[in-house]
Amino acid sequence: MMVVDKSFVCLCEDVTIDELRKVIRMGYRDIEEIKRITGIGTGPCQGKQCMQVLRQMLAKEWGVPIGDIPFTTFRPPSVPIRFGQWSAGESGESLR
Amino acid sequence: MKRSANIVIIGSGITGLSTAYSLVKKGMNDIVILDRGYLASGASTRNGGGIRAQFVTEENIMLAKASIERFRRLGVELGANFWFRQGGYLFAAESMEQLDVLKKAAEFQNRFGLGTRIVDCDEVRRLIPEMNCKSVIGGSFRQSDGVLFPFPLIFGFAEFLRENGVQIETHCAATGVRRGHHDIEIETSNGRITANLVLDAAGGWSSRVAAMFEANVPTNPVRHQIMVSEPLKPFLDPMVVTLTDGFYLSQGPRGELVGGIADDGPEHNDPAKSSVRFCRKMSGRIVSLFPRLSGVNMMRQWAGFYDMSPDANPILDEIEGFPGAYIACGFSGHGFMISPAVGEFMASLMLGDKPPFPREPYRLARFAKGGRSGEKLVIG
Repeated sequence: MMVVDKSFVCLCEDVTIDELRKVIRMGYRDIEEIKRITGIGTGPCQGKQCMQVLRQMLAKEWGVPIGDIPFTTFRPPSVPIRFGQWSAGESGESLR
Repeated sequence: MKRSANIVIIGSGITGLSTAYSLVKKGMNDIVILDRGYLASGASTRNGGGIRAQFVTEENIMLAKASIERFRRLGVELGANFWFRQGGYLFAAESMEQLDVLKKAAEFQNRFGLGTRIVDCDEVRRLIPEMNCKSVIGGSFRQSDGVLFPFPLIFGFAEFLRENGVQIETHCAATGVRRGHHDIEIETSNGRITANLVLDAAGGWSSRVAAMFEANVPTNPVRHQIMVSEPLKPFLDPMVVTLTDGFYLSQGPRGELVGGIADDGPEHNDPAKSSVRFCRKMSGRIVSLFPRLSGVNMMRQWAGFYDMSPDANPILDEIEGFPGAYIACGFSGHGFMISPAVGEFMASLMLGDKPPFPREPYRLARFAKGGRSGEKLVIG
């Protein structure tokens, strides 16, 4: 399948295939580095849409099975939670 | 990896990168930087980007003041935009005792020409209109403090260094050192490398690395947590800090809120573990100080180390009894913000030039002599 290079991989942070390829060619091999340089996976969906595509790109680039490419560390909360919701579980004191 | 280099730096965090940058500026390029993980995988890629000179020890104030001047020019020199914004730092007081602490601190800081101002409630409201000032009775404010975005600075340094011939070897841990005939041999997970000069800049792991040089360095990695919100329209210009609970909050370049709060617990020092308690504590404080943020989402939360020294001041020194070995550690949560001056200091020290600041206050031996007065303004 023909892939347009300006296709967005990470829709939250506007990261394109071109941009990811550039960073990979610069020699950044670690998925954690690529996340920090491009911002991929740090938007509202927290990587739920884009990380698999990035892993697939890295697997292809290095000729290894996708299972050999780690995910970035998943950080809590698994879905965004409002400050008001977090603090509602506290006693009234913190809401003074 | 090269098998020999003039200089080997252990740790690719901001201290190692900044020192390498200063060494390159002094004409060195036969440098190898080692890191056990990915680039800057310790505290340098986990910090909140706060840049301030409001400290209470001369040691930190001198380094921070010089560093803020350097940050203003560094972006152009590196060709990297790290969004340094001097929106100020507000230390908020919630009791008369705290206000006294800040008054004394400001008086001390102004001896070094920092221009810290004591502000009252009305001025706090003017600086941060969205903040609920019910508990805040005033504070100290310094306009030249601010925030930056750590990643572009890290990667800007890395690219500059690579272009100038410096090798950065990630996923390559230093596992042992030995005195050679005229040099130092470093065992790594990727084979042996020899060097004339070695710098331990391993952050939270620096005391362990120092032990390889038979040096007893009394620093201790302590876990701190931090969180980021969804992006918002710009509304918070200064970084807000409270003395009550080590709370801090700033708005980053993408509009996201970044902040933390003092928190301790059973998972104490494991950086992989996050705590719900932190999220609740942090959120409770955000909602009480900024009621309108109640409906804003916390996106992500993580942890990293402060490499604490006994007086919360850095150790910048040669390692006694091991010629050619140096150490820069114990930054106690402030390593990122003072890194430009630390880099210049260490590069001078390693090349036998006169460092830009007196050496005595930063020496490792100070602890054996009873130590110096410590830094009190450690936040988070």
